[in-house]
Amino acid sequence: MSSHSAAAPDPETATPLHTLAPELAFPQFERSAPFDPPQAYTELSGRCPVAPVSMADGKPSWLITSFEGVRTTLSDPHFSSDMSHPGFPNRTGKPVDDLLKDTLGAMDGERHRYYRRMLTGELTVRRAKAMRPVITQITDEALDQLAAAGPGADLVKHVAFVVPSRVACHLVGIPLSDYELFTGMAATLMDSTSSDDQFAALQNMVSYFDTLVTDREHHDRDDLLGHMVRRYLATGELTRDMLIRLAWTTMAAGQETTAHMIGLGVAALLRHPDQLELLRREPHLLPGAVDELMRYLPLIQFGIPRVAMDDVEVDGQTVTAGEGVVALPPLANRDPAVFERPDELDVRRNARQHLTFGYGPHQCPAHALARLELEVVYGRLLERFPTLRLADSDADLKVQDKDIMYRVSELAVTW
Amino acid sequence: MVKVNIDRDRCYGLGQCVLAAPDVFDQDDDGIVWLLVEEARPEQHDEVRQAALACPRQAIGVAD
Ligand code: SF4
Repeated sequence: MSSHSAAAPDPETATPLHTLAPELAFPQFERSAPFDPPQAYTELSGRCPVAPVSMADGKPSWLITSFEGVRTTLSDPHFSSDMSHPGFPNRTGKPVDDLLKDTLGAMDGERHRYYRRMLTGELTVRRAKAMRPVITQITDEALDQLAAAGPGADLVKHVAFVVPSRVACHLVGIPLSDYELFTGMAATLMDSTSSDDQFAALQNMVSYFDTLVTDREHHDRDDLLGHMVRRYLATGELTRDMLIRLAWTTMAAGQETTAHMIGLGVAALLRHPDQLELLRREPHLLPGAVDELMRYLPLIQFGIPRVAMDDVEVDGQTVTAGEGVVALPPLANRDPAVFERPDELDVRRNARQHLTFGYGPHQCPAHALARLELEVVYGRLLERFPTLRLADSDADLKVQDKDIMYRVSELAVTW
Repeated sequence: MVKVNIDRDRCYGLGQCVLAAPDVFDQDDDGIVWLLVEEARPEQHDEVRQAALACPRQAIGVAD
């Protein structure tokens, strides 16, 4: 599958990572075009798809940019998600935040599987499909707000940030009356620069969820929390602490990513009018366009880190036990060995196998719901505003390009 | 006709198979794959092969 294997080093004679000069410092941000991954990665990826890089703490790691390499890294059980392991790549150079330890994303093997199954049942393709009417209603209400704000309105503020968090509230079972209270807590938890504020926000979040769980213990409710309380808390399979942790991390993981895909996705379509026109004429292309936009847009900035628990071969390169690797899905999604003309946005393409949801055991459990949300939002938006365009087509896109997710911070549209 | 096999012990409930071939695969209440039909009709063959390829856990077997 990979075009790089011809140049791959012989595993027998592979040089240990610590003796190699790093190709780059990680991360890199400089881009030549708003929808392309940073230039330094693109350049590196063709030459050396598994390359030594230096992390902020000075330790070397491997940067994985080929499709095959990223798939191996994310699905081979010899790679661990345990952030407390000394070899785990550390992007910030600071100790791992306690907020992130012992969440689903940091667990391995059977323990991960045990907790993960409790969520997958709530996020099946069928469950997602059943939510289409609710998603459509939430989307239409957001589009009403956009229309009311008039031409020149910010799509990020009125639509991208609203729809995913309201859908997540509906799924988990947060009452509409608490929507603002909840999003306020979530924002402090995610954005705060002071760890004191963050700690306080987490305490608030935990006690808020505790009240919701108590409510479910007394009333049957048909939502994720209600189901998990009945199926796993009542039977002792899940502690109250872990139930609350699973619930708030699910909410947090789902909102921002989808929000940024809405903003960035609409921006990309408005900047590719031929593709937009095609979607307007042939709406049956929408589900495929969702996957193509997810493939094409370099949303994930810092990649997906893992540490090798054993020697593993990744796209021809031996990664030695104890070494860290960072898989970069945006580069894998542009691998010419898998996608023809990878740097073109082409909504007719079959891009289903893109790696933006990750791959393997940790792949986003809510991918079916996310795909459906994007399909409904893009679709309703094009239907409702047939003349939608950028308010100022000559202006540079306003992007936030140093955060965990690459995104447009504001998108003024007119119609 | 091709025969479809699933290995429910390997399945991680990721639902890639259901997206690829919705008339052949479904998921139970734990998200684990189950088969709607054991033999795929000719017009479903492509989808089933796509599903087998898409499954990150190699939990789907296809035999002609
Ligand atoms: S794609 Fe594989 S892991 Fe996912 S539900 Fe289907 S069989 Fe299970």
